Amino acid sequence: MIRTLHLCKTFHPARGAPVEAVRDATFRVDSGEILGLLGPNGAGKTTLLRMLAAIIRPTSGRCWIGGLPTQDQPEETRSHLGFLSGNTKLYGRLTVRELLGYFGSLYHMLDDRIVERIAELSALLDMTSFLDRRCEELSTGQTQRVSIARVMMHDPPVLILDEPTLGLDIMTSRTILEFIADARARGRSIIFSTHYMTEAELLCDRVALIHAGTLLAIGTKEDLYAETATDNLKDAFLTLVDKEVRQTP
Amino acid sequence: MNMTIVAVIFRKEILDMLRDKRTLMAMIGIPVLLYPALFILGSQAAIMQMHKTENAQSRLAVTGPGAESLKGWIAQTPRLIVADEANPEAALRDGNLDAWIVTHAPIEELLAKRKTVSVEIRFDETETPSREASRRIAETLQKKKQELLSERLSARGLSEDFVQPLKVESTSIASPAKRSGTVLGMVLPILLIAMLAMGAFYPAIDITAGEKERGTFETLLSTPTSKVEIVLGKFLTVFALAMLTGLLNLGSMLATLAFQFSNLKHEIGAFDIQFPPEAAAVLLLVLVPLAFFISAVMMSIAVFCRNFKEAQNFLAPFLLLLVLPPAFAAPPGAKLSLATQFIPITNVVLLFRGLLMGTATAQQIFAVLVSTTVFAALALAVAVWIFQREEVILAEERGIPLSMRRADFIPRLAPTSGLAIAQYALALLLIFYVGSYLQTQNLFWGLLATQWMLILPVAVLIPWFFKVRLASCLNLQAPTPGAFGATLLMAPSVTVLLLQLGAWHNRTFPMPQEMADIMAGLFKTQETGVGVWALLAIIALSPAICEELLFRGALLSGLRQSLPGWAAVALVGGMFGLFHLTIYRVLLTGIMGVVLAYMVFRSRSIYLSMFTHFIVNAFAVLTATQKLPAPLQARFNDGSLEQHGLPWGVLLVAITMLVTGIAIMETWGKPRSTPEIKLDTYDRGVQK
Repeated sequence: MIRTLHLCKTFHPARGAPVEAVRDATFRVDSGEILGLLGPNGAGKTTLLRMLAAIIRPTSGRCWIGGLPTQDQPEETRSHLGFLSGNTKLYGRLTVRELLGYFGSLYHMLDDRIVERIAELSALLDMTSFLDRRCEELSTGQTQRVSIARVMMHDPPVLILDEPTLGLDIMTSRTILEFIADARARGRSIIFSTHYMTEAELLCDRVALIHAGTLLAIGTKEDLYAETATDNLKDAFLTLVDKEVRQTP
Repeated sequence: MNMTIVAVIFRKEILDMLRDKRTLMAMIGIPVLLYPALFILGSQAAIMQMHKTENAQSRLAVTGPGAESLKGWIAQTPRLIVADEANPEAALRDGNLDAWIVTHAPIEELLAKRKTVSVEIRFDETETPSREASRRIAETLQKKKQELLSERLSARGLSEDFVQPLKVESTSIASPAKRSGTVLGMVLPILLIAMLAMGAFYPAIDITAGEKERGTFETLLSTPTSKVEIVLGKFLTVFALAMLTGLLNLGSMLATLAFQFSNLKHEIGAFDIQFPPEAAAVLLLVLVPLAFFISAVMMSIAVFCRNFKEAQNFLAPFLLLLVLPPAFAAPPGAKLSLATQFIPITNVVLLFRGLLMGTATAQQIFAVLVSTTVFAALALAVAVWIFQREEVILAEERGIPLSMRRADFIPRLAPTSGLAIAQYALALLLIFYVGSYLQTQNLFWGLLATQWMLILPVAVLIPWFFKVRLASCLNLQAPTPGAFGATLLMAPSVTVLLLQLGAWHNRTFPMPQEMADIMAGLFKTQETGVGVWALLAIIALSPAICEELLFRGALLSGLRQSLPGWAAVALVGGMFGLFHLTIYRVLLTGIMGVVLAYMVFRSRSIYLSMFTHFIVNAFAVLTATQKLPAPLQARFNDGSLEQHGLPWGVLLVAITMLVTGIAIMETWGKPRSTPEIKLDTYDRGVQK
């Protein structure tokens, strides 16, 4: 459902040399699969995910979401996916219900379906008690649940989730992780970016490790452990980064 | 573009804005609360102060020879009290005295000798009681002067006419509307522009830089909404709030003023303000593109900024800039001229004044409306373009300047609608400012330069720069034999039908004589020294190539990306009509533009419209220079065409030829292989 081919993104800042944020990223994520994307800050995760979400255009290479080329059909592509990142915040002056209704309309949903879907999601994510409160009045956990609901409003086949559990308490994290696992069970293709190695180990079918814009490795946890002769993702990641640094001239 | 989505965004933005305290305060708080409070309380305080000053007694000192006589004169004046002060100068400075009268010679003695008595009033002009005291003294002494003069004249047996050999009276012939228009014309436009700008200020910032700061922009960009829909939804919000705020402010201010005037009639006398309803209607009509322009510019500036504060800093100078054109137009002699009617904002200020004074003409209203709309469209096209730049929209840490490197553009087969409209606006601006100047220097060379050095580069170089493939953008394709055959029928029939329409147009809406003389002067080959062949090159061949490449090439291809075929054809025709910048030619050139656009839309061949454009213009040149075959020329010269139009038989043949031509074009005119070019159809061959 998600496929990329030699995807690259170079930024040209006003001053200084061009920055290669993502280099030659080629991978695929099938239906009913969660791909974990792990990497330190500034590794290129957000840029890669923004390209997948057709928010920015790749400098070269191509990618497809549900068979649609993101560069050529950006709007159609976005109607097939739900994108959540630290930069996709909520409209504080709207109530939760108004906000979900607004995004439902932007995804071309009919009014009746919007009402039904809000009811379904508020039951699933336990939002009924604050459905008519303004988003600016919500706690961090409540805000993140609304963000997940916003992403799921049109029930997209592809989910791109950038650190969805960042800064959340254990209970809210668990609700969200269960929700993601349920989406996988319903055949959704999911890219899940996180800093928490334990979450990735627990949830992801395969893991991609990214550093300085380059995908260092991609595979199942077991493949990565075997390749790096380690027994956890953290050590596997550090081993791969060390190797990359040594190889860089 | 999906208008339902634009409406969804508009509704949400309005709701969002109306929940923002700052916007509400600027939009409703200030007009509804502040103006009445300021005006009513302010004027009441002023009236109270006025009453207080009027009722207060003025203390004054009189010194010098003959002071007693002066005291005697003043003693009869109410509220003037003469005080004994040892040091009047110090007392006046300290505020213990309101005025001090000084005489320099004995009064009675001088009066007896029939000489002039000098009296000096010393007062502090910065103090209201002192000014009032000075006024009262001067009034009293003026009466005394008149009394003394009458005495002297009657002693000599002379009448007052003796010292007044000449009496001058001035009578203004200005109508009340013109008089009040002069006053309102100075104040109202500046107020309106300021109100519109205030109304657009917070929304423009909030829904661009504010949204960036709150981190909601990317949320919106992750939906299947196009940038054009987002810009349009947001722009309509800013525009609606600017209009609402402008009108609310204006309404509140006028209502407060009317209330004040009616209350204060007995205090300040009647103030005759006339506001013709038709002027108000046109004023509101011009307000729309003006609000459109201000909103689009403000949004374009604000979107560069990463947060609210930065946007405020950037927009404040723009607010000041908005006040400059009214200041430029402020001198009472400033009027709408050929040059000033195309200067943004200044033209609106001058038109407002003209409307209020009842001197604005239909041509001026038309020119200001067109130019303001063009500026507004250009500003909106720039806003759309800026929103397309991911570096600007997603800039988090700092605003990255727009990339204008050719290497960054994606090759495409047709310009975007925004780019095409920007080309049109740029061509218009170049004609306003450069073309008209060149034509004043030398009419014929100016006309040639306008076509080849202004219109042609805009049509060709801009698409080239943005990597639009010229062959497809400019419809440079050979026509099918069917399309060519259709054109051979359509070109002469259009020429004939335009002649008929022109005759009808001249009867119902004649061109002013001055303009007709200028047009006729072009074709006086003997006087100008410019022969028929040269005229054909300047007036027929050059526009047929240059204007066609711009209108039926770039503009048609661009508008086709977001409009259905019929709408693009109609719009290109309309824009071609407006391009001629005169209300007396807009209809004819507009109709001609529609026909030419239709030909190219169907055949994808610009050569057909070039051919037809040339035929129509060449016929006009030959007619005006008396070069038609003699029997035909005679019909033009005897005025029968102007009076009766063409014979029905000729019209019938022309209509039949046109209809047949269209039928042939529809059946055999379409190109066989060229697919419809749509937006975002990237040239994959180039991209690889």
